[in-house]
Amino acid sequence: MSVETGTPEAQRAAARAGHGPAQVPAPADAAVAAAHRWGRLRAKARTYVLVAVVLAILLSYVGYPLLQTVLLSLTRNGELSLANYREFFNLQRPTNLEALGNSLYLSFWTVLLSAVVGAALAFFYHRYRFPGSTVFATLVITPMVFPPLVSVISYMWLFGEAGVVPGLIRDWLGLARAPFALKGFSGILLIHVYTQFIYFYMLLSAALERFDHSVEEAAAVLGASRWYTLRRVTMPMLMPAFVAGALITFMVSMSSFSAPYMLGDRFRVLSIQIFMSKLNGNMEMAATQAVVLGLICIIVVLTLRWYEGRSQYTSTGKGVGLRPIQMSRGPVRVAAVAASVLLSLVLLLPHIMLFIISLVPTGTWTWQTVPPVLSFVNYGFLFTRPALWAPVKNSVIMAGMATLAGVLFALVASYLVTKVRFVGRQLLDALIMIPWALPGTIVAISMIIAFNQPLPTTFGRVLVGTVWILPLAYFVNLMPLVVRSTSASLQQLDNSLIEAALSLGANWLMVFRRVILPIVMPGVLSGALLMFVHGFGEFTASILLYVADNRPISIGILERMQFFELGEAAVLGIVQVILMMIVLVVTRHWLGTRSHQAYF
Amino acid sequence: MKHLELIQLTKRFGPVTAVDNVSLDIARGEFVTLLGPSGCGKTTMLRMIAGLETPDHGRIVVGGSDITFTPANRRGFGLVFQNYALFPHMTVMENVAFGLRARGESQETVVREVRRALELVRLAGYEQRKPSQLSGGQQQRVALARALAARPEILLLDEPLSNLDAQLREETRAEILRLQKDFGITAIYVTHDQAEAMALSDRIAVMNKGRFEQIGTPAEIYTRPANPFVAKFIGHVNVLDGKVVAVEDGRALVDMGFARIWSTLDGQQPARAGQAVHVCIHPENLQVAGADAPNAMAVEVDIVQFHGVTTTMRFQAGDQTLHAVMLSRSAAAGLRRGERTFLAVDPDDVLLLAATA
Repeated sequence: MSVETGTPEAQRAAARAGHGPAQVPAPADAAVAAAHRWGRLRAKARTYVLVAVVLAILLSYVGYPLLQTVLLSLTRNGELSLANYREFFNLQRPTNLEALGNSLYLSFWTVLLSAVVGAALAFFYHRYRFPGSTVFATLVITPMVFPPLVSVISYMWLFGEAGVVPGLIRDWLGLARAPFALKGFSGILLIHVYTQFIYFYMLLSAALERFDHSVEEAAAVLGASRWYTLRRVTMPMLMPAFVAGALITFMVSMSSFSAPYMLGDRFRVLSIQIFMSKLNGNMEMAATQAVVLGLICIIVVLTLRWYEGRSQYTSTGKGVGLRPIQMSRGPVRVAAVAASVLLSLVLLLPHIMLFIISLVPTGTWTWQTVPPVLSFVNYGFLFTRPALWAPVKNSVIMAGMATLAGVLFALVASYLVTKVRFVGRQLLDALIMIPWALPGTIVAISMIIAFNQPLPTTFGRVLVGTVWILPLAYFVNLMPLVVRSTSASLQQLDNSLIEAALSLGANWLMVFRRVILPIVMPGVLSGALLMFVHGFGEFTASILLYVADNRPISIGILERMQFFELGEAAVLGIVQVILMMIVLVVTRHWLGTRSHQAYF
Repeated sequence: MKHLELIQLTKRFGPVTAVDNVSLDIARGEFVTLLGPSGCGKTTMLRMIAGLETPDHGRIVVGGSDITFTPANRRGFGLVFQNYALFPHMTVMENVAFGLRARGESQETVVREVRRALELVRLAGYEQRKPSQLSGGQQQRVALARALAARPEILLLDEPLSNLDAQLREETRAEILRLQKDFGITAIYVTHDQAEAMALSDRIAVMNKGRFEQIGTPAEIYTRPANPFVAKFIGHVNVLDGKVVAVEDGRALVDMGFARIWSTLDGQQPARAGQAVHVCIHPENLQVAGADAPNAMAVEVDIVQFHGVTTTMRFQAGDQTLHAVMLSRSAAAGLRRGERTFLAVDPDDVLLLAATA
């Protein structure tokens, strides 16, 4: 430690106050200096041990598989080469380019239609009040409690080739064949809009709730017309919600697997191409397709984060909420209620259909347009037939394991990312968020590529073909949900609370147990519940990674469908819907968080 | 008797030096305030004393032993935060008991000490409330009780009154002073409010840009500011540019452009003819007088503000501005904007500070 003399001013100030320059000399001897260095080191040691652990997990299970995938995409017959990319972008055999084009085309239309539907509903329910309007506004999010695979199946039962609705129309009009059937591009698009308009709806609803309507009044007082105000004031302030909604919808749509898989027909998208390449054993091409799709998704997420950071319009003052317009005239009210009831029915139709099918005993519904026999017998099978309860049990165990690991990981990782300054924080943050950006298909492919050989990080075992790879994939793919919601809670946690506890003599364990944990618990719990339901119903990674011993519930549904045990398949779907409803209610009402927050 | 010694403390945050080689000794039972504008390094100083920041350089010594690298939770100091930092999920009782429980005290001791602490801040009976059910002032007192419950020998307070309204602030100020004197605790108080610093402190350390500008009793700092920064920060002192014209008989004649006045040099820095100086005059020392009064300055009334007991006036004098405070019932308070008059000041109340180039 070098000895500096105080500056003249400091000395003068000290002298003036009757205190000479510091009387205790600075420690010059090596022992004290060493003690000081040790003290400084210890303060940082704990941080870096935690960082090392988190980084090791991320590099082993996120970084390494992705690196292997990129490397494999650059390999042809064991040699470094761009042959795979030449093949992908080959204009003579444009299968892959077509799939890429289809993915982009589908995503474009999904974004556009979802924006129109979501925005219209958000504005409508924000501005107008009529009997039951708040209930209807909540009912709009019912597509949220529908796992993608289950909603596709319900839609097929409703509108598919042997669907009830086209069948009823055929009978009613006396046609020879059903007038339409849900399949191909338009079928996928319909399901996409049904499941994804809620992103726009929820983001815009939240933005409108926060919107300070006094700025519109200010614009009016300044002489702006309504149109000018809308264009120059209202829209720019709502723009962040639109952009975020568009980016999220685009990404989800690019990654979408269930709908194209079930309904795709000849309409191939990139995620399906990856799956087909894997089935054909062409892992080099699967890796190449995964890299292309993954890059698009990562670019979208980076854009989203950049945009979020750049344009947050929060009102400066207390703000004035909009006084909603009461629909007082009779006919208008009736029309609004009727439209809302109709909308709710349309949104609930797949749920209703799923429930009805779950009541159909196997073999009773063959040529009839509507099922002739209804009974609860299938629900009993949930407890007696291993084909039904085994997938449920498997999914509970695997999703539970992944969630437990996710929570432990998220507590440490979120703490580091939000509360600690250290070198490499950006890298850590990025490695956590990348799996969130990547479709399950890519996570699964990268794991197949990386873990088909024994590695130190897999305890010297080949993970592919074992029951362990699937929960690991759930962990990697869904852990960002818990990290995001935990981080959000931690950001709310004032650092001074931690400091207050430390200054009162609490050790780290006590600070964590008594101060941090109780306060962030709602965030952790809602993230954990969300991760659990997503893991529970996971289909995209599961179909690539499951083995006979750990068939999850989504694979169980597919199998029941293949055996034409529609009722049993629907029962498994109902189990998922009920679980998701419970989670939605718990997170929204008990934990006071909105489960969708973890998505954004 | 030295209790706390801060020795050549330095703390940098990236390119910013928050605290720059600062030393200070504090006696047992003393109330010392670190006073300065935001960003002057006073909170960083307090956080280093509390153990929440580690100095890059220098030492912190308490009762002769070095605690520079002792973690915050082994220092045993009380700390009161600007935002109180009460644990929102705990009751008042649990908040105040936190430090005692952390030390592993028996349940019996915890209950007794919590009751004592809550009685001290006059909040007995509020044990089962949550912080959100308390007013700002009550929350502030819980924060104080929590810091005092474990009987710390040093109490650190970081702008604890800034979130209270004016009346509550004055009441709590008295409360803090009473508790500190009753228990003989050494207190270090951080604030940017000079009135608060004056009212509470045995000594004030005025900070600016990570350094001490002046350390002294409130009276010393008020009447004899060491430099224009302290003079301006500590009160609404008039600081005028001037030049020493002559020095004779322990007095200096200063030319301020619009007037020439005498300053008594007794107890001041030496002055020499031709030296550029800042002339400091407290507003309450300016009197409306006749043209022939000693040290009279011709001025024009610019703004008059009535405050009840006092009236403040702004005068234009040449290209400089003067503020004066007078009792509202005095005749001078009846002056109107645009009127011309003369202000006089006792030479003993004219302070000269060397102008830095």
